[in-house]
Amino acid sequence: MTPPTGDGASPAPIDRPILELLRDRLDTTQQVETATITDEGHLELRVGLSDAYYPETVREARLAVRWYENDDFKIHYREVREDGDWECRWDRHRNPHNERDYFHPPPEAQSPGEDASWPTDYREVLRFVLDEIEDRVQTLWRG
Amino acid sequence: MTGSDVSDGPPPFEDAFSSDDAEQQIYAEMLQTRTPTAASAIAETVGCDPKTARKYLRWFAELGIVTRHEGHPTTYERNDSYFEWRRINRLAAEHSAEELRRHVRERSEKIAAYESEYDASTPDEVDALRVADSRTDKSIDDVYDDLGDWQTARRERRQYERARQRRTGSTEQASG
Repeated sequence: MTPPTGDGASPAPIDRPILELLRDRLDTTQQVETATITDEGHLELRVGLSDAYYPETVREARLAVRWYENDDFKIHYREVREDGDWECRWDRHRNPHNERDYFHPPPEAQSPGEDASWPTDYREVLRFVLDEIEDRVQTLWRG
Repeated sequence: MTGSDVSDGPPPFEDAFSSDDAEQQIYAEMLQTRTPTAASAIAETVGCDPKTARKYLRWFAELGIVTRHEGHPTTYERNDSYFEWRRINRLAAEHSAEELRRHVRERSEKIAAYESEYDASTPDEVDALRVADSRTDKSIDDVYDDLGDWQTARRERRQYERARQRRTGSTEQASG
């Protein structure tokens, strides 16, 4: 495994082959309804999660994945809800905290949560993010 | 599943990568192998026999997906030019010359806007942290987004332009 080379000094383009592989794999799972690479605004992989996984209060849930050639990334999750959107995101890039890894909790929280140490492998990162979303889905059903 | 403790709610998420066989795992691993790496190290990461890894890596090298560096040990890394070539081929196959020209123009406009906004000719010249400190309208995340989009637009413009040239070349051949 190659460590990430991104030090923030040199921005990298989106790594399309990695998005393509993620698209093809995610598309085979039950929880994913659609997975497409799009260039409206940002070049990214847009994933629509299956309605069947969500209670009626959630109209739509989607994930936007950007993976860069220096293995930085930005993954954004959004639920479109009757009572207002709920969103969070996971990033890796150089930032003012001198930590490359962080998680942005839902909007009501002001500062980044605990800095997590991310795996380098793009598949492991996606697994991690999907695990978190699965936990979130379970919370929705319990609530 | 006994069904005894199942409350309302959906089944668990499926693992998107669990059904990958050794060949698919090695391919997926090589997508992120950006420096020359020995087959034994790839085998260890993937969790397969080194002979299996060598077999597929030699095959991927023949296809051009990976670059093979002879030596002790022989090493392999992702071949970026293969993926560039594949992308250009697809663009040329899926778009008309006019569409490709339009894509080139759109990317050029986007690039020009970033050059002007950041007063730089490439995103590499921009110090993201300093810009974020000096501007109130953009957070560090916004600046990183911009620099990534800018770099992506430069990459894409080149690919669309090469696809356009290929397309125009083949049209001329066909009609001439």
